[in-house]
Amino acid sequence: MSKKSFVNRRTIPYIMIAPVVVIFLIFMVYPILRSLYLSFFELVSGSYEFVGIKNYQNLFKDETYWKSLLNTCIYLIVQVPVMIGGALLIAVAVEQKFMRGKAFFRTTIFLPSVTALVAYALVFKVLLNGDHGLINYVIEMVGGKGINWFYEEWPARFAVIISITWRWLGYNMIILLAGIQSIPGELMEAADIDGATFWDKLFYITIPMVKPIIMFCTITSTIGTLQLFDEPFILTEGGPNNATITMGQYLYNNGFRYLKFGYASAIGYVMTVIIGLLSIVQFKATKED
Amino acid sequence: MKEEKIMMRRNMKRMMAAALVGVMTASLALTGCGGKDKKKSDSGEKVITVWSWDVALMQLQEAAEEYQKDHPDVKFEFEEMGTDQIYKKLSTSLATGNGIADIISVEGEILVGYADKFPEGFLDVSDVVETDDFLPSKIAEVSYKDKIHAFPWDAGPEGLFYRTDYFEQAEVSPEDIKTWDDLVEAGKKIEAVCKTPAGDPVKMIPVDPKKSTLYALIRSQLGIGVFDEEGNPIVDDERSIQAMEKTKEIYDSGVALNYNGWDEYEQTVVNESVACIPEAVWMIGTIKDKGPQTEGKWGVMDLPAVEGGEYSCSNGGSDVAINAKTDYPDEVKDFVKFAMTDEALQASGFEKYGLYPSYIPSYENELFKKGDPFFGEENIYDIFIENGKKVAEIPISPNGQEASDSIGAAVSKILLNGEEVKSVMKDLQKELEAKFK
Repeated sequence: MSKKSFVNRRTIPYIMIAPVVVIFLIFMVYPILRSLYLSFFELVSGSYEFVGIKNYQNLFKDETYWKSLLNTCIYLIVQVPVMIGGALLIAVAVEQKFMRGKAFFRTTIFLPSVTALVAYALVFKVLLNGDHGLINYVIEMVGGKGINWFYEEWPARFAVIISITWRWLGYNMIILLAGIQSIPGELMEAADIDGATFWDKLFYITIPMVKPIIMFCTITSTIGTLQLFDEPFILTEGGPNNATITMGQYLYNNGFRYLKFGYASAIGYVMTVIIGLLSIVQFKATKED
Repeated sequence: MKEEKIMMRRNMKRMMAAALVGVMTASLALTGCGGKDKKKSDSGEKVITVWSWDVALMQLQEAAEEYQKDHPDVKFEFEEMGTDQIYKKLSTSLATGNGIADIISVEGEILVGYADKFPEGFLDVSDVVETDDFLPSKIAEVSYKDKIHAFPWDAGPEGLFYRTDYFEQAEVSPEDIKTWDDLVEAGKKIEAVCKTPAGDPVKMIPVDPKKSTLYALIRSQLGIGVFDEEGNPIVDDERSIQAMEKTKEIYDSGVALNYNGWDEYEQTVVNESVACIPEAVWMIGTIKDKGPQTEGKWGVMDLPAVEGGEYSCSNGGSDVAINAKTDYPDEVKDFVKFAMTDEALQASGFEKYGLYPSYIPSYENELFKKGDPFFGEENIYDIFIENGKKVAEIPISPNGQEASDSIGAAVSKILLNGEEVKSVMKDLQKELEAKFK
């Protein structure tokens, strides 16, 4: 018995998946549980002191946190529908029969999502510059009034929204495009014979057919927006008057700049709960139909 | 048969455990890559590791070469990292107590946060730091709770950099600018007359209306900080309100040029869009680097005064901390002391890398007495040396970073949203009291 090999038909699957399971446990499960544990502690003079739910209580009284939550919601409500709608329209347009150079459009529209984050954020900073920026130049050329992008609260929020839409539109467009291409051609032909217009086909064939994919894009974009960090960090540094700060950035500030690891963990957990709830709502919404 | 099954199951469990342990050690070894193991080579060499960033790192390397001439048994290992990288690593390593270098560069305003959260993290250097030899404001920066947590290194005394050519064009004399009000008046004249190379009117000073910088400058001139000795916020103090009102006055006068972030700040030099920059001595490096075409067109004068303000201001600068768990505390202390107090090294560090020493005896070096061709052969250092000594010893607080962010938001409310100074400052006081009670 004792000489029997450990590696046999029964054990081999476990051995095979062991590395993945172990790495997952150490690098995913452990940090997740550890940060839950940390959210009930605070670092005081070199050691962690148990503070109970004080971190969570403080969070609910913290104006900056509420503002970061509000900003995140604004990004979510404005940016996600605009981006998904835009991505869908572009995907449909690129798939039209009369369209020449489809590959060119597909590539160029997708390109923003592979650009380096810092580089693109800095470019937007230059484009949106109040005095010398190209965007204001164009607005003024057509007779409008230049916008003070980074020094007023709402324009600053829209500066962030414009940037993230530019970057992620192409990514969602490619995913939707794949869905549109898988719609059987007969459906469109039949609709043509019945005399359906472009809009009829869009609303009664394309959108219902790619609905699961629209849902997928919406959920991933929602999660992405809730975790938004880089763009406001580089474009506006969260200002003016915390008008563009996101939950992710506030978490970073608390953890790495103010060294309040417990508080940062609490923010992380509240974020997780919000993301979880929103995802459940979105899943439910798709299932009903 | 049944027994065999149980045995097998037990064996499998054991094997799983073995596999787990194996993979775990492997992954731990992987995660351990960043942390250097204790090094003691066979020949008895002492290896000292250093974490620092670009110019500070280069200067410490030169100091190490000098030091090794007399101490051949000491070896150095330098790891170049950005400031963010150092702080992230420091936060995690101090929390676990492993994998910290022996010598770590830390920016002045960041140090106290670590000193507060990890009081045993850095070695106490009070026995080797002669407090009278360093600028008092730098000693205040490294002292926290009866311990000196780091060796003071470069300082950032401020002065007012100004464009001599713009001043001449607008017939403004630097002697006329004694107060911030004078600065505003001169700014209006300059804006009316001078044009940048791109054809825009020249503004007087760059201001980030979302940050506390200008307010903090004027507040420092009034000799008061955000917190008192006990760490209570005092932003509703009369002098603090006075500083904020002056900031608003300057901004509302229209002579300021908005900038958003460091890159746009540098662009004010590139585009030659401002006539003055109130900034620390290290700005010399940025001006030379970003505005080579402006050679000979710059001068330096004292900061404009504020009513009742008898102090000066400093901004930036770094310190050198020593890991409390280092294997060679005596050697490391000895080296850092050498690197920080060798006059020739301090002077060359300033000349080459713009690291302005806080070690007072080094100002005797000839370097600080001669002029700089970039600044029209004028001796610009006297102003910084004098201002460095005039910086008030403002109490520091581990909550400084967070408070400074809150003040930045308050500044936006006042400068951008046009809210009333007194009520914003009162709310700010309440907010800070609630946060740091």
